[in-house]
Amino acid sequence: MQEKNTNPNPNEIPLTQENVNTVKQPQDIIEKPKTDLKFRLPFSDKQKKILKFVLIGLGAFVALLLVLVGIQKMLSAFKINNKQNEPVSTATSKSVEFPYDEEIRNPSVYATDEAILKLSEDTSNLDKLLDSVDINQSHLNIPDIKFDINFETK
Amino acid sequence: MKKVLIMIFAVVISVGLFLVKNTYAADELTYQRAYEDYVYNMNLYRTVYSDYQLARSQYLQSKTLNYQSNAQEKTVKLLQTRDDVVITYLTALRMNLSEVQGISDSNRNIYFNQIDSDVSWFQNHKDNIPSAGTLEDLVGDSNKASEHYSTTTSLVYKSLAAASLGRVVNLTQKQKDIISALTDKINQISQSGDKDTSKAERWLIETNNRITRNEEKISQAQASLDLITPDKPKDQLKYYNDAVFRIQEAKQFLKEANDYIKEIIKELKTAD
Repeated sequence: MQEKNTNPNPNEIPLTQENVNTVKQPQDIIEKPKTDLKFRLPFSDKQKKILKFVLIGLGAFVALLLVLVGIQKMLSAFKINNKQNEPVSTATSKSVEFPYDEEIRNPSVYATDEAILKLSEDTSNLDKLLDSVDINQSHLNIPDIKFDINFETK
Repeated sequence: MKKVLIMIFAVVISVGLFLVKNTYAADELTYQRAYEDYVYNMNLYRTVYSDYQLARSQYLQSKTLNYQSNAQEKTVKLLQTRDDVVITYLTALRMNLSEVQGISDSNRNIYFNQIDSDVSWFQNHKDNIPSAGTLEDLVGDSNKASEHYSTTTSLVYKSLAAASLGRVVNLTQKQKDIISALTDKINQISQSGDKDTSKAERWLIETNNRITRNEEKISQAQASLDLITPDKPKDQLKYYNDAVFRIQEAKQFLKEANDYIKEIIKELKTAD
């Protein structure tokens, strides 16, 4: 007995497993773009190798440089922290307003005199030096080292 | 291609040369560098001393050959590290003195010679510590260093006081230069008759009095410093503290003199 064709349209391809496999998938229909778009340098293979080594070396060098800079920054930060921990001078000379700090209301002809201004600047600089000079040098105190070395029981 | 390679190599060599130059600059011995070396060795000494204490107590509790050998090893390390502490500390003191102005070259050289001599002594002592010596030998070596250290302490106190004194002497000289220039200016103003300088002249006398007091304190500090000698180990710290106290006083007089000068300058800047 012949099997009755249930397909109403004779031009239509019957839906069998074989046909399903042969049907082109959309991604197959769309033509893949050419991916071989490499920029070709006008160098020979040997030159390319050299360039590759140089670039790798340069990269390593830059990386090393960055590490060194990082270490240097860390050391600087450490030094600054140490400085901050040092005892600070307790001089409070600026807390009181001295007569020379007051504004001059009626200036003389020497208020803008070059020599007087220079003296004023030198005096201010000396003031800063006097405030910063370290007389006690406590950071250089004699080292606490032990000389009592013995192997006797008390 | 060749040009690119040459350029890359030129850049690399330039940067390399720059780094080498900086590295050599960093290797130059400065006070800061010497001080860091000392701090490093001091920290190392603390660790080594703890190791020695542990090894010692283990040996005293149980006098086995193993503990004895360990105690010898730790004691050798301790003595060597202790010598390194003294060497680097003296080097830091030397650099400290070298960077201080206000010390005469002859005085500075006297300190340098004494410090160098002590550094040589401790270096020699370190080199001669026997790595395979008995514990008795090592105790003897330690005692030698201890005896010598009493002369080193007087040198240390003298160097520290000399550095502080030098700093204040230098500032005193700067102050005197300012006063000299100010005196010239006051004389010039007085001769021109533009302004009455009688007040400034009186104040200048007061300022000079402060400098005189400052110089007295400097002399007293120098006298205390001279009393620091190796044959009086118990008095070294006392004389050092006395010298520092006089230097502080000298600095205070200098500060007052500087404040007076500011007032004189203000007086000159103000119309009659």
